[in-house]
Amino acid sequence: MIDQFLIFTLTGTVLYKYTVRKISDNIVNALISNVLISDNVKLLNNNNGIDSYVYNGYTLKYKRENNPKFIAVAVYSSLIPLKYVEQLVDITSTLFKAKFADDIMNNIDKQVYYLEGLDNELEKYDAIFRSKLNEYESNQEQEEKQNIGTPDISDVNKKEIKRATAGGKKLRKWGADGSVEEVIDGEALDFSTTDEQEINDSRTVEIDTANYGNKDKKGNFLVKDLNDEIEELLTKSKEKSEVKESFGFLKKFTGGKTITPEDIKSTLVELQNQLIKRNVAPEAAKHLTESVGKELIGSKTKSWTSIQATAKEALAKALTKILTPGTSVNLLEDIKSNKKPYVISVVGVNGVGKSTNLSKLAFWLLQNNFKVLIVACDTFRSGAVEQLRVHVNNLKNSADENKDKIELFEGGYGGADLVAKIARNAIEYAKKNEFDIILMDTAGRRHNDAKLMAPLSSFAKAANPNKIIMVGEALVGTDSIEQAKNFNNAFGAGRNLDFFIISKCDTVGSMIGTLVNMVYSTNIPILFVGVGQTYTDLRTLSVEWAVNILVS
Amino acid sequence: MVDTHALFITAIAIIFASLLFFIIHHQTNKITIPGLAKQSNKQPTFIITGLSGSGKTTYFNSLIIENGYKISTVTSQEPNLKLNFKAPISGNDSSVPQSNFKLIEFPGHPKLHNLTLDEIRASSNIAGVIFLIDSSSDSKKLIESTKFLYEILLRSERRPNGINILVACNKSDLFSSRQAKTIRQTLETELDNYRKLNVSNISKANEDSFNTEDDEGKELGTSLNDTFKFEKLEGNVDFISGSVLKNKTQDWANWIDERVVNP
Repeated sequence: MIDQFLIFTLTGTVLYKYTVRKISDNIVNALISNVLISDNVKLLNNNNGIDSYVYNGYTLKYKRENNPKFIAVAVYSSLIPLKYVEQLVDITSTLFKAKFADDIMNNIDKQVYYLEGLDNELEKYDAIFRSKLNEYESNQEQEEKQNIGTPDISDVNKKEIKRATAGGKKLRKWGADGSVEEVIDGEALDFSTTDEQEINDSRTVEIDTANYGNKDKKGNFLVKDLNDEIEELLTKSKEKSEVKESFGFLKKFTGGKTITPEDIKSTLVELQNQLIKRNVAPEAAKHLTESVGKELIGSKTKSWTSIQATAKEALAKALTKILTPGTSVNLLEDIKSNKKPYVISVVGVNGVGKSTNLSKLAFWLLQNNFKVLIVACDTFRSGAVEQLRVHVNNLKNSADENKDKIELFEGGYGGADLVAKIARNAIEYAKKNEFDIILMDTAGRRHNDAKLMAPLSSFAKAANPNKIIMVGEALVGTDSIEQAKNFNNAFGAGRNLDFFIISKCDTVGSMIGTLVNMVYSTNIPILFVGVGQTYTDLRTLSVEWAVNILVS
Repeated sequence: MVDTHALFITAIAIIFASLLFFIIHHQTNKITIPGLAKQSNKQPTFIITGLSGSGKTTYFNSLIIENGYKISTVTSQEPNLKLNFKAPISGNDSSVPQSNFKLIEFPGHPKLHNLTLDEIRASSNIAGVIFLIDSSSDSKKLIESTKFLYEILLRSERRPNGINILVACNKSDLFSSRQAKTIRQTLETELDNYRKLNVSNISKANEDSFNTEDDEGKELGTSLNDTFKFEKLEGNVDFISGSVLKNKTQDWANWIDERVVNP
């Protein structure tokens, strides 16, 4: 039994709603926020263009229509497996499209985003939807019974049918009617009792035509009526998809052309290649262009806009959505609202600029009047501690008032145990000496070597940093996806990376694809980009700037 | 005779050239972040914005359709646009004849905030911004609202005389809702903190390869030594309670009408 079925527009208006059990609005909104907008969740794509998403104990199966744009979604409890939902969503959204496509298009011209003055038609659709739902549900029920092996199926059916037609408790078996709450336009739809009866009867007839013949003429008529309508709509939708546009070749230039998969294929390949040239990993480029394709196939180009321009615009939109953080990225705010000392640790592959960016961070924090302790947790590479000491001395001398506000905490060189020990001692030292912020440098490590990555989780436990920042360099191409993923998973259950700093952005020109790769693979926001050698060469990411470079 | 002939040919040449330019221009149009700002429409704009779940779409529907507040909604993914929106809303009672406006309602999801911000930065004629807040939300959500409002103010205050903003405190019918006055105080305090943070934040990498972006105006009207006050801003900021679902939005309509009568 599904709990809810919704058809809504991308602009947020619900066109059709079927509710059995009232469930929180958050469920469908979570689908929109997490999947349709954020693109966070990697979905298992099913064949008919129907995706499924699980949230909070509910399974949501949804289908996206493009011309006109709307989304049909069915929600049901994940505990009960329902086999028919995909078919149901597929057929009912097709029917809805066939029935209302023209109305919706007209409304868009009038800039009205709901089905104005079509209450009667919506009621008809509602009846269609219910009959389809019942058909699938009774099929599944019968199937289940057969599987259990009830001795006499027809007997059971008889009883049920009697109950279903008898009134009173009859509704229980079918669930839908008794607890149905129908809301359109925020008001319960006034289904008169006779309508209700009709629908019940229609169900009866559907099940028992084989055994009993058609007893109820009225019910039979309704079913026939509905079936006719369904047939008609299905042929209509078929015809529509087959109609060739006259002067289609002209529309390529004048716009207003309906985009087919063939039209857009070469454009998408072109865009994908461009992204790859900008150093975006093939995996991410493919995902991005595919999502552009999903959005555009079946939709119409704007007037005087070519398919290429339309696709480029859609790509810019998709890139913007990926790169814009879903939550606010404000390190200063977080530092000020947490208790001292605030611990930040920096991780990454060898040679990406961990120590350099750590010093840049330190410089910025000093400017904001924080007392900073730098901890040398790289106990492995020779010279690592000395390098940090040089930085600390430089920072001390950068301004008179900085002299007593920055210090280096070191513990020499040694194994993984030493790292955890240094981290613990440093925190104690910082507490005693009233440092505001601890910056922990760690040893660079190869992300695909489990032996090197393993100590990170014990380090995270010992230091328990408020923020873990991964430094990645813009020079890396495809491998950045794996780097980000492996580091993100290295800190044990329940702990992830918090931010990225992408270093060496000044050295790659327009090939800034690494930004996309790292965010794409982990959904972790970029805190800063490194753009030069001096302490002040740290910037926040301008999404607009990055997107412009990537698509132009 | 020869002269008119030459003139004729030149005229045709010019027409062709401009047509060609028009087409080429459209093909190679520089891609900006898709917003509605590019739409060439001279109608002054009212913008409805705010966080997700503050009631923007429902309010939009209630403005353009009779009983529109009864239509159920879900989180928006794309802006709602209505051209030829007639205001003053109160219509005949007003001494000013109704004229046409553009009404845009933007999605509230953080990843789509740039749509609102681009429009405020780029649009040439904004009559007012209606920023919805769920009055019943907890202080964490209010801080989130503050940050978004700060980003809006950064752009709106750069315009001569600023932009008038209505902070519409929606859902005031709910038991847990705060009064408009309280919300105003909270937002004032939070904005004060937040602008101080942002002045010391690291600037953005911009198009002129990593030069520091123009940092002007981050302190929003008041110097950092004083506390932030809404009165000190160029544009007026008003806080008015209401409830879209209970259809109690008359005060907001009055605010809109006021902007129409005294732009």
